Amino acid sequence: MIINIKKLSVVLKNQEILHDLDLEVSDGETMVILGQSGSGKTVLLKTLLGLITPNKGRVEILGQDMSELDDKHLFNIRKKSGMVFQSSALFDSMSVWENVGFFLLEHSDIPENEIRKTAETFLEAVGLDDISEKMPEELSGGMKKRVGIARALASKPQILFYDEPTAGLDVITSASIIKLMKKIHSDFCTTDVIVTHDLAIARNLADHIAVIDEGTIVATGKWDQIINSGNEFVRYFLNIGDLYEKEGI
Amino acid sequence: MMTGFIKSLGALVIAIITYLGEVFILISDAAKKIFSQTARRKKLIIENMAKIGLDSFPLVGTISTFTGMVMVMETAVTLKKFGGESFVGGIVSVSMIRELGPIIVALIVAGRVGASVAAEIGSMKITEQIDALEVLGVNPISYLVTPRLISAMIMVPILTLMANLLSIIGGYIIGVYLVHIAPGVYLYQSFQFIKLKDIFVGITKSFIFGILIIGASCIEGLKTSGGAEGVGNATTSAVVNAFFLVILANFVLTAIFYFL
Repeated sequence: MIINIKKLSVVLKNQEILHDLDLEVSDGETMVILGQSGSGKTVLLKTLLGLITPNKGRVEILGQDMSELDDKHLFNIRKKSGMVFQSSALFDSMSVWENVGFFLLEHSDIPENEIRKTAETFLEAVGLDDISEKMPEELSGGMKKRVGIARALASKPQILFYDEPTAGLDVITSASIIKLMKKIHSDFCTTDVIVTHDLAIARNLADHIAVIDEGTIVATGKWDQIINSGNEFVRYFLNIGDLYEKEGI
Repeated sequence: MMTGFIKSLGALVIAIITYLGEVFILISDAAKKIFSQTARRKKLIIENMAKIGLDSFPLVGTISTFTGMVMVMETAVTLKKFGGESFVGGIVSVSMIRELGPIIVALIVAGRVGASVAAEIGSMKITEQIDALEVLGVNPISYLVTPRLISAMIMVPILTLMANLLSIIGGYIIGVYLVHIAPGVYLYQSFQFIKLKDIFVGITKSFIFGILIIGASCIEGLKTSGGAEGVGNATTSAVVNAFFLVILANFVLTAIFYFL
């Protein structure tokens, strides 16, 4: 297992966000964590990256217990992980190529012009040409997501984490991002962990799906198993028609 | 009634001590990285030196020149009654160099730079850019706080020296051309009373004020939560807290130098 989570609990501002959560992710697979807003998906992702310290339980990534790592070892884990943020989180004071090449600019002695060329290669890999001099504010939402993916790839990660990769995008742009994620997964041989509420991602990309509700995993399995789940929340979440009926919309 | 008042007072004291502790920890964390980061972050340090120093200079220069002018006008009226208007230059220069120069510069920098630092870091926080720094293996304190701290430690004392000089020039213009003090007398009096210790006191104060302004503004930026409202609140708190820290530190430092 590349990621192994056991009995994970996270409390933030006196509120239990994650509760006794168990999850396993195998090497090379795409795990989609599905859940509605406020279910604890992003907190789970940030805990996996060591940005949030768990109150209870164990998080193992690449065989290392995250709670026992000092800054140096945590950095080694992060070096092998890439994160695509929901808001893209591009550094707005830097140009596109500086964003993509940031990891190399900070952690290598490679000359700047070579880093720029490398950044442009990653930008081409995500389908972006001739934008390396632009600033993030000049980009559309879809382009920002692509630059975010290129930046995450720059450290050549083993694991790619995506936080709501299609949030805020129109259907066509969402479809192109999903297609790109599929291409990246096969070209770069990454293990992908995607948290989302977008069923299209789960249907098209997931090897395994975990459904999260109120901070705990309520169902896991392949798409076919999930859509036939007996869990009330899973059926409620997957069947939008029923949901609208229940909510009286 | 009395119990409630004591409780509120106690809570306020605890809040102030906690806040001072937070600022101290942030500053010491950032200061620990000064030697390892100075060469690495030259570009960021120079950019911040320009923002803190060059960009603040027109405002600092204008306010300190006019302060020098006003001080001469106000003191000359009183001293004239005793025939002591020739001492005006000395009064202005000593009070500016020891006390008013560092305070005026610190309050201007706190208002101008403190607000912008808190807003910049605060918006980075709410747009997950600080999380992105960490994920990319960069310590946010060494990247965001240390370069600003180094820049403020250099630029606030330089701004203070310039403010002192300009206030003396402003005072000279009014003293010589309006109060009609002989130029030589004004200049002699201006510099006669200034001791090396006065300059040292003023520079030390402004050095410490620079550190406190960056500490107060960075901590508010890093604590920002919520959306645009959160950034607004962080900006306001940064300026108010920086003012409070500067005034408090001025009192403590003045007391220390009084006894030295």
